[in-house]
Amino acid sequence: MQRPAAFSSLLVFFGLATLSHAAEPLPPAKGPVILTISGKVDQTNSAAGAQFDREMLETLGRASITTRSEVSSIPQVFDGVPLRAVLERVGAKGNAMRATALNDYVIVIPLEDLQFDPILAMRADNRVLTVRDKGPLWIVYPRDAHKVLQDIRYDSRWVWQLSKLNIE
Amino acid sequence: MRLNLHSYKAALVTLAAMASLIVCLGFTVARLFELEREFRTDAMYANTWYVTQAQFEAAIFAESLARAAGGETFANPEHAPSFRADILISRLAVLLEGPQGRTLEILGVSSDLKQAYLQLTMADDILQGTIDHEAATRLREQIRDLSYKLRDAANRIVWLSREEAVAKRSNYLQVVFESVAYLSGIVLCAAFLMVRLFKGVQEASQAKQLLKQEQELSDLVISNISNQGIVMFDGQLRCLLWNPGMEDLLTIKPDQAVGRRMQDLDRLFAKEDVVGALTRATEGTSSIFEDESATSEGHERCLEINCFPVFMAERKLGIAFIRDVTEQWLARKQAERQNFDLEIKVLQRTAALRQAERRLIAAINSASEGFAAFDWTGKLLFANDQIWAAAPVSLWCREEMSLTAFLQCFAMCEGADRRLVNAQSPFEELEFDLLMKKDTWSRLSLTKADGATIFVRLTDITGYKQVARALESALARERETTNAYRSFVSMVSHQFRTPLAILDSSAQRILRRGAAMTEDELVTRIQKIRNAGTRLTRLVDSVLNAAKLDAGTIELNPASYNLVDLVMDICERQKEVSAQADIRFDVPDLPARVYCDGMLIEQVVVNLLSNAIKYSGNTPVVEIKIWMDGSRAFCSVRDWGIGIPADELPKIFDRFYRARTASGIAGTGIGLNFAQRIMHLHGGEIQVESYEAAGSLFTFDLPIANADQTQQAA
Repeated sequence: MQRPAAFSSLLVFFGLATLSHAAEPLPPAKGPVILTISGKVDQTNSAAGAQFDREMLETLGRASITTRSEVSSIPQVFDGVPLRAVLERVGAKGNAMRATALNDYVIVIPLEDLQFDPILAMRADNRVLTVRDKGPLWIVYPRDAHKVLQDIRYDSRWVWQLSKLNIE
Repeated sequence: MRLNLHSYKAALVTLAAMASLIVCLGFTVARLFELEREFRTDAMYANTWYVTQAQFEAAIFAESLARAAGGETFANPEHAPSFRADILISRLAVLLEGPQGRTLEILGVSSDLKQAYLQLTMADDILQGTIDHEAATRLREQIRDLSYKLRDAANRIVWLSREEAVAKRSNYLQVVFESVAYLSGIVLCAAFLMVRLFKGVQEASQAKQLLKQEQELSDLVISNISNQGIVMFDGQLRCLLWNPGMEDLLTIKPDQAVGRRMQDLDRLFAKEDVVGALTRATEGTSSIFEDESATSEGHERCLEINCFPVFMAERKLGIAFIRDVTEQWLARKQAERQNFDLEIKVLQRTAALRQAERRLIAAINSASEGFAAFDWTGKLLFANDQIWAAAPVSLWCREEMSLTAFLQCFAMCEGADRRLVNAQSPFEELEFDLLMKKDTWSRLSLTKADGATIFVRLTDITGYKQVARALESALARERETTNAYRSFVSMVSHQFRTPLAILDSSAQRILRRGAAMTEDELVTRIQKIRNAGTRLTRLVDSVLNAAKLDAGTIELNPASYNLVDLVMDICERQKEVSAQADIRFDVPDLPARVYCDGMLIEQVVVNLLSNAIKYSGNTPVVEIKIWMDGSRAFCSVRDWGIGIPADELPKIFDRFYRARTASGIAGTGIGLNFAQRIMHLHGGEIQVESYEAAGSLFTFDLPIANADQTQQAA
């Protein structure tokens, strides 16, 4: 488990470094901004960093995870954007990202976690997430698929009401 | 077998130790994993955090509402009440769902939270537009209440979480103790396994050392056996080992031999049968044989070759032990030659012996004596025709002829006794004179030779027996005569002297007195003389009669008589002589005709009657009885006199014998003897029955005369 994990993180890091240059410049957000990525990123579209509205994020790809969570013992279907795709789009170059939520919750997530392919969920059980129910973005790990993720350390990285990512 | 069982047990114990080790290890790991799972999800801390976050949001919302109530406008939309309400609602939603919702339900605060949630949701419309002062103030108060409730909930959660922590700690402690116990089990099992391993290694090294020592010893033995060649070879008959003994035998050095094919080494191993035996040894069959050949110097030599299979290091090998047995071989050959000579000699001697034996048998067969030989167990070895012809043998003993049976044949012959019947091995030496059949006597003698063979001789001794018997009877008669003479002299000296003394005394008296004697006195004296004379005459008569009887000169002139008349006459006459006697009769009315010599029978009756009177004292009573029974007439004379002692009864018919009760009463001892002999001449007998001082009963019998004899008499 340990070796392939390290290997894939290396690959991710390498991939990020190479793909970022090929990306087109990020257009400015048209709708309400729901995510701002700052720090060590190549692409920005504002002074605050790379800003995304819902539409921009949805164009980056789609992914789905069905899993239980710390707050729900019933499996839920989460739909959203792969975190990797978002970071690649902005050309993130760092080891970790500081995630900040609307409720001012802050946590540092190492970028190695990309090996688990977490997503930025925008829907749960086919219902659009609002601020009231942990929206509009919720970092979701495939908790049921990996035993190692069933841990309070990872549970605390499930940031809901995500609003900012600062790449360090 | 015992070793197997032991190792089986040891293996079982080891397996059990390993199994318990694994079980202990499994339990420990399982318990530790359980702990790990509990550590991984720590819901209580999270619950506290959720509650305090909600409380904080409520406070912020209240503050935002206060500012809104004050008519303040918000530059940052995140400070606006509507945004804060959304955040608070999301916080409350988290508290109402999932595991944390259940915890709050247990604590009994979820209904208050649900109510607050509903109120907030309903206040949504107010929050979207510009909020009036009053509504903001009212909502703020409600939110402040919510904030208090959340604080209480946080308190309770902490309180509950501490209790849970205590329970959890005791659980951890238990797990720790259990783990320690399992660990000590693991340590024990591991220690046991280590000890076993150590022992196993030690044993293995010991066994290895022992094997090495054995190997060294066998090498030492093989290379130092010089009087025996030892060679080892594989299936292709390639030499693997060649000891110094082989070098001595075949003058090939070990380094020349090892590794080469055996057939190329020496002529010996090139022989077909030797190659065959060696090959068979490698295939598992042992063999032993001798090989005779000449050495290179031309001497005769014999080698003994022992081939055995050897299974060594998974290889089928053969080993041969080769020994020089020339000396024994030569000795054996010599012995064989001598044996042959000896056998011929034995045959010659046997033939000579057979001839001698045949001669001996012929001699024995032609002998007049019976001869038989038995071995010491009584088995018949040889018997000549005379033995087989002997009357008892020919009658009884044809079938099985052991010595015991043979001797028992003779057991019924006259002269045999119990020794013949009971004869058993070992047999004693015996000698018997046996009456085989009428007038044929044989002497059966059993002798032992060398303590083993038993010889039996059967000699006809009839002639010898006859002569012996004649001599014996002559001797008896002579003895009798001598006895009779002695008795006669003694009797005469007693019985004849008394009347002679009476005669002499009477004659002396008459002579002395002469004329002075009266007529009566003279008559008495003369009468005495006459009585003495009569007595003497009687004595002489009886002696003469006895003499006549002895000489056999008495002749029997039988005739028919009436026994009653005869007896009655005698009694009449007797009464005249002895008037004092009371003679009673018990006679039949009918005449009892008997066939006898009347004169002699009268003598008998007189004798018996006079005896009865003589031995009955002063008043004799005599009873005479005559009767007939069958073809014989009986006459008995009974008295009640002095009787005869029981011990003397058998002797009273002996000549000159007188019972001791008869002393002092005149008598010759001839009368009864004479009477008995007369009766014997008549074919009859005098029977006597007597008791001392009680009386006697004499009975004699005579044959009754038949019709012819009666007529003759008439």
